[in-house]
Amino acid sequence: MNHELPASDERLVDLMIQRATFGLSESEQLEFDRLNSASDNLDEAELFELTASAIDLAYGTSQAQEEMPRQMQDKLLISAGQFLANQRSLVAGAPSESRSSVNQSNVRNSNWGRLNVAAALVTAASLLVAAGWWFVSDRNNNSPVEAIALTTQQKFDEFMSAPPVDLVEVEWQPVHAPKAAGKVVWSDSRQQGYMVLKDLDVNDPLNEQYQLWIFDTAKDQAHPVDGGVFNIATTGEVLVPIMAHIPVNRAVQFAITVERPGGVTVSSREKIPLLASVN
Amino acid sequence: MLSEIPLLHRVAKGEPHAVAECLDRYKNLVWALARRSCPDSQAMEDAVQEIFLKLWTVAYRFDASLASETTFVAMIARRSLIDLSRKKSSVTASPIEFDSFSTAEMGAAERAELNDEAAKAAVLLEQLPADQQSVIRLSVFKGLSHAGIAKQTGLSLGTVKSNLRRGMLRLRSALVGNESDSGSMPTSVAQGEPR
Repeated sequence: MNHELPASDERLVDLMIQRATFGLSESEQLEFDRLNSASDNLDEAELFELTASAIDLAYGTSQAQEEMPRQMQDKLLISAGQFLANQRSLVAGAPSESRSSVNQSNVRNSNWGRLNVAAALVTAASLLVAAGWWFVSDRNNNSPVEAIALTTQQKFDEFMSAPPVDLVEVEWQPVHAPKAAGKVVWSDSRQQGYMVLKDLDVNDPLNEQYQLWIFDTAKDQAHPVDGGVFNIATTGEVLVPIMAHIPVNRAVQFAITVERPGGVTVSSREKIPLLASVN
Repeated sequence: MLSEIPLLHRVAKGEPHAVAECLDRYKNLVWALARRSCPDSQAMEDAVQEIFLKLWTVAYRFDASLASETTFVAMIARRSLIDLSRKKSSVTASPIEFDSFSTAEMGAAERAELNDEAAKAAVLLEQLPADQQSVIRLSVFKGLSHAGIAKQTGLSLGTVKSNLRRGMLRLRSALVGNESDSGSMPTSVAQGEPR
């Protein structure tokens, strides 16, 4: 076997292996991003991760060791419902007025409307799981995760009805998307926020996706926090939850870029449809 | 003949039944991985939530030609857990170390539970030279750094690095790589190519 590598590639391979086995320090991660952005071998890095995972499965982890506690399963069930609701609002790109309609009908039909929505969802999840409906055997019925889904609009409304003291609310400024507008709301203390986007161009997820970046005063401005990848499926107004991948200390600017499907770790910033700066 | 759509691709399409099935199928695997690396129950719960959210979000990236779904799920879980451990270590300045656990030889029953890929990995790992096996076990299972492995084994730092590199390259080539030899970086991945 030939293991003679150019010095830079050898270093990148070492970093890929380290990343896959025991992780990178902050400085090593920066070095990895720099070397990897030059060669764009994220797929290669993932092959090492898959290798380490196969080894781990072979020796390190026995799935039969212990069952996940029921309480944890309940929480995941609720998270799954929320994920599906978010995904629907993103994929469907439903206009604001109809954003929450999908699951509100479920709530009305089952007469849950009189109850506090959040409490009802938690209760429903517990009952469903307790009743052994964790796994859906009848594909003709609604699944439990669908039945308890909380829409992005509902979560946004809850968020804005009791806004945190450090709520940031700024208008988007168009850069490469002259017709687009909207606003972004964010809370550092809650690590939660949403984007309201109007008339941003529809994207083809197979070719490109939008990606949010959050600039944090506590971090290197060359490496903003990844705020998540998302799609716009229709013109009009769309609500998108922000999914910061690492904690944000103090957000000072938000930028939406156009990237390859799945997003990138370091953006070339060639296409920046919208920017929003905190005064 | 129509091929069955992988579960993770149905998850990516937002099929509620698929999301529920995904939870049911992989909950114990994710729980076991989190249990091994998290210091307390709250950290475990947070980690498991994060792992599944990440899994559902990137499910569309699953490529059956590279690995099984189980291995892909384990990869997403390991990635999240390593990131969490690294963040924790940067705050506490403590070394990253998964809880120690026995890697003693598995029984026949446990081996039978392994998916094909994991079973192949077990065989391949045992075929590596002993020093390469050792560093891979310590890095993959225990999350030890190069320095930690050097300290534990008495090997020099350079030897640890080269053993880990050689062993992982060989395993990657045999398990998930498409090349006959993975000694050099492939150039087939074009810049900016959609996944």
